[in-house]
Amino acid sequence: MQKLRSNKLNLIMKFILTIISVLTLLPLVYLISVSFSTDAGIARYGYTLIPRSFTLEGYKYIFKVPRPIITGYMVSVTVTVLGTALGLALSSTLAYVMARKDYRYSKATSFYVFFTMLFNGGLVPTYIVMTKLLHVQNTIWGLIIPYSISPWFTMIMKGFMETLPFEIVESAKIDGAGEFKTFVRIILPVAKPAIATVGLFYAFAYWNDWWLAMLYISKESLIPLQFLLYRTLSNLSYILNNMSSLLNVNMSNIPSESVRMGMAVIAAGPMLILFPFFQKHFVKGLTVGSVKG
Amino acid sequence: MNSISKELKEFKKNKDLFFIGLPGMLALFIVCYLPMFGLIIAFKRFNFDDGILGSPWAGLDNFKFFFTSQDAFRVTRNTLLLNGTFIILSFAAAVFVALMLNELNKRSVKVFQTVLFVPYFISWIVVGYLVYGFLSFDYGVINSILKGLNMAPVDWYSDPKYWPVILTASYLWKNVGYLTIIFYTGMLGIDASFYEAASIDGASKFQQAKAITIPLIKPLVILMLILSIGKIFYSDFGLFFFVPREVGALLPTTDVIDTYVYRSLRVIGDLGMASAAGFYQSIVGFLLVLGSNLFIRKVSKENAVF
Amino acid sequence: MLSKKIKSLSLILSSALILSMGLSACGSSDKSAEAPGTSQAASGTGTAAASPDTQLEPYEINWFFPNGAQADVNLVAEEMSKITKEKINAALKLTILDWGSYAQNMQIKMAASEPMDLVWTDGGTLPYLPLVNKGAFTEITDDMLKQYGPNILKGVPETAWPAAKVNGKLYAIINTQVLGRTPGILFQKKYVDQFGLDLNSVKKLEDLTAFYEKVHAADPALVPFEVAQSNSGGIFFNEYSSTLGIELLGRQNPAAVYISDDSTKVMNYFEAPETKEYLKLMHEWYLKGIIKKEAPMLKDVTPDQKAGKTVSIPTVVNPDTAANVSSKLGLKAEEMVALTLSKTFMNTASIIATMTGISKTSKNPERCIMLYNLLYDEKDTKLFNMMNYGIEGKHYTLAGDVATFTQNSGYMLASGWENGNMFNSYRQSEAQPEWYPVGPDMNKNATVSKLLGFNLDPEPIKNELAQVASVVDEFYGGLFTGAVDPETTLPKFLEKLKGAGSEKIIAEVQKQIDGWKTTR
Repeated sequence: MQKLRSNKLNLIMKFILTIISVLTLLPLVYLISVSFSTDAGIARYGYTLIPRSFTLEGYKYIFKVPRPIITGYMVSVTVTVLGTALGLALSSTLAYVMARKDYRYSKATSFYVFFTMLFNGGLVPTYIVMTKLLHVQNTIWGLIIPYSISPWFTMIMKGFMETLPFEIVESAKIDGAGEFKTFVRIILPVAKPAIATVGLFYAFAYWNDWWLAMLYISKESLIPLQFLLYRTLSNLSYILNNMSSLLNVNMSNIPSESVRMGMAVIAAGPMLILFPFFQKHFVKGLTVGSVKG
Repeated sequence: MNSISKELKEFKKNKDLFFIGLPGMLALFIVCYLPMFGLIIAFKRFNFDDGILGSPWAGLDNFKFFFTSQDAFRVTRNTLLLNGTFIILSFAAAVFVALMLNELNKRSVKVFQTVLFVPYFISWIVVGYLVYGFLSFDYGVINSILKGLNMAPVDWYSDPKYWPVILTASYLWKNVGYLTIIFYTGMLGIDASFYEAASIDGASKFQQAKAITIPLIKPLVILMLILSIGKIFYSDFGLFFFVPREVGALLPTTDVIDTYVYRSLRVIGDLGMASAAGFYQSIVGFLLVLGSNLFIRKVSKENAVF
Repeated sequence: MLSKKIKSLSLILSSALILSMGLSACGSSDKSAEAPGTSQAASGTGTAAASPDTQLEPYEINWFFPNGAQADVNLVAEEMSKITKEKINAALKLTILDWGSYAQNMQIKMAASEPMDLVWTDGGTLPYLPLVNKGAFTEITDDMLKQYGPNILKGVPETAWPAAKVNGKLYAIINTQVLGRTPGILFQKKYVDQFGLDLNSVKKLEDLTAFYEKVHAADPALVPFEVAQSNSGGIFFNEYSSTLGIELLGRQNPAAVYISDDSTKVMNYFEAPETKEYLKLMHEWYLKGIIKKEAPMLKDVTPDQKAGKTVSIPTVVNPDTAANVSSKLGLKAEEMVALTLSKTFMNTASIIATMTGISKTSKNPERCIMLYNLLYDEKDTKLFNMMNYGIEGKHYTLAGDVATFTQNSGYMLASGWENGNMFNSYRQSEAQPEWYPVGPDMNKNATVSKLLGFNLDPEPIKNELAQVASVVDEFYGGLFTGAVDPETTLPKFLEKLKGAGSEKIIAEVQKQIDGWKTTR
């Protein structure tokens, strides 16, 4: 009886989630369709689920000079891997001490972290610190250091860690393990889903970023993929908005709507590969017993 | 003297944990605290010759343009109402979806989670194009459907009354998946033995969710809520700028503090005035957080953030 | 250390002096004599003249300007450096930032006192005046220009210089293009012929209504008069206002004057009866389907253009406009005809639309001017064209003076109006007219604004300007694309402008103009 009911419930939930998923995916199907459509076709038929005027022009445009795209991918991957590792190391340790209610300075630390979420010095002072003090401009570190610790992700991590069964810490202490050893041996394994999630967020923050490249990088060999795409989009929308003030803009550089959508596809694509890699760690049912054993 | 030595003794007890947290604190100090000297720009008449520290003081002059504006009320109202709606709806939706995911087997979770998270990767510029593709008058998907149903097409971009709904839908589409993952992850941390025990006691899935999952996930939800409240005066600029396509007629319901400041200052480009607006947003957010944290501390002490 | 600096400076000065003497002495037959630095060696007039390397210490000029990213920019800069090293012993570093983030990026760099030499500036993207007021640029004195930039002085029309001066001081070099604006409309010729429009009979926009109605009736899918939210159509009024006899100080600044008014009385241009007539016409056209229904929210007109649906485009008409625009529509230059609505009008805004300033942080402003002098060289345009077209054979091929870009070559700037004298540019097709003497003549014959040389100091009214800008944003799109009825909306707009302080702005502008007139 119980089982039957829970099966029925399962079906209903799957049904609801399927509807939500379809609604979520629908705009994306349009997006992909547009990336394969001609401008004239879009002007004539609007957005359609299946391209009415099929073309590969958009992708050809994006890949016409493939060298920067390849470099861009490499830079992005390097930055994402290094940055995520650094970010996780800094955030998980800091989040852990905040989550430890028996730590004397846990609330003070929380406040210290939280304060930076609300107040920031602004662009110029940050730029000055990064370039005059740390000299990260035109190095790979310019793309890593500024995001190496995110107060926001650290607080999320703290939230996750608070849901962990902290009795295990007590038992580890009784076994005579030091704090650092407890953290590495006991906490990190049970915090796997939390680390995977925050790692995912860090990875995507790094992967999606074009802002740091805009500020700190002027060497073409260090331009990440997203900035490559962003640069084209922003250039485009600026020119479209200010055409008459710029009397002789070179219009042959203006990409079409299919290019914009194609760029979105290319930028979001790698996520679909990366995502399952992180999902592996979304393991349910880690218990005190399983850790000890 | 006594208190210092006592504090030192306490520190010794806590020093292992302190050193675990130290690298993160140092990194935060460099990345976030050092640039904070820039907060004074809001009170300066900034020029390049004298730099940030040397520029003459301006008192509260930089704050005037926003507070004396006839639109100050309108944009503040829009900011609070829209962001408030976003927070409430996205939290409700995400907790709901996460609870469902928590009951499903791993394989279907993977699929749903991935699907829901994809929109997070689409930049607002592109979302702006997509929304336009759906809502444009002649060829928009929605109007095509309306025409198919023999209904009159709607001129979405000329009437501000539709826009709170359109903005909310766009926001939810892009962000619910992200929040869902956070809450779902929180649920993964719950000790499985609780559920085992409940099952043995014959508790239904609903009862388990109510008695175990929700109470245990509550601190995380509250934390996220407080963090979001702190940001309520800041808006997702891309959403409010690219999705309504800068159509002037829509500003009555789509203009928020960030877009207002951007539009006002893009010609003058005054660093001091821009910083003043940011400072105002920070202060209000800060007070709101302190207030809500105080409130939570009164209601349930252990859930307070600090 | 200091004495060394002074010594090298005096060397530069003396060599420049020699150079200017050499220039007048040896005429223009010897091309290399045009270039400072080598001239004394070439002309042999300098008694103590050694090789340029000992005269000028090596320097790297760091140049920032906005444009689309160019993969081979370093390659081209190196190639250019070969020439500049030889002539002025300076290497060149080009940093191209995309349009969208240029202003923000530069303001941050300036605020952080980053070392920079040349910085592109204009009236709207990275506005010149506020930067001058905040001390971003080094003053360029008349003497400096005379000594290091004779070509620049020759290229820029004398009437234009006051536009770039702030309180009598110059802070940027004007890039030369057609410096005035000629409002007009570009038509697809086949529709003009098909519906029998006599362009000569068109004196004002109203005369076109009947033609557009016929076009719309024949095929409602066509776009008779291209208007979009904020592109060429939406801000066409910036230019067309001169046809109506009004001079604007800026789209978002309501203060304006009548061009013919000798007393230069400042008024609110949104209140002018001419503006209201224009808005009424736009609304009429909008209701008649002459303007696209989507105009107020339309940002990108290229799909319509590529589909060939665009019948006419309001624009600034220059000798090369038809050739440039027709290629976007997939047409030949002769398949489009241009209608000019009034005489070329030249004012501060149209002149300062593209300039290059020398950053305060530059360690060698003189060398920057020398570089610019090379780019302004009418006789030897190799350096200028290299900057715009890249390396011959690799990025483009040259036949006569027509440069054809190699597809996907990694460099395709073609933006001469940003970096020197546009008139020195190669042409991109046979259809483009040659710039000499058409271009300089247009500059010579333009109607010159009475306010030329007046630069508004926004500081006393910056709160009002900021608030007004936001109000203009709210109403401008709807009104100027014709989507809303001016009878009902214009009064609301004007009232809200007053609430934002438009009257204070007008009074302040009047005060500044009156003050400026007495000092002139």
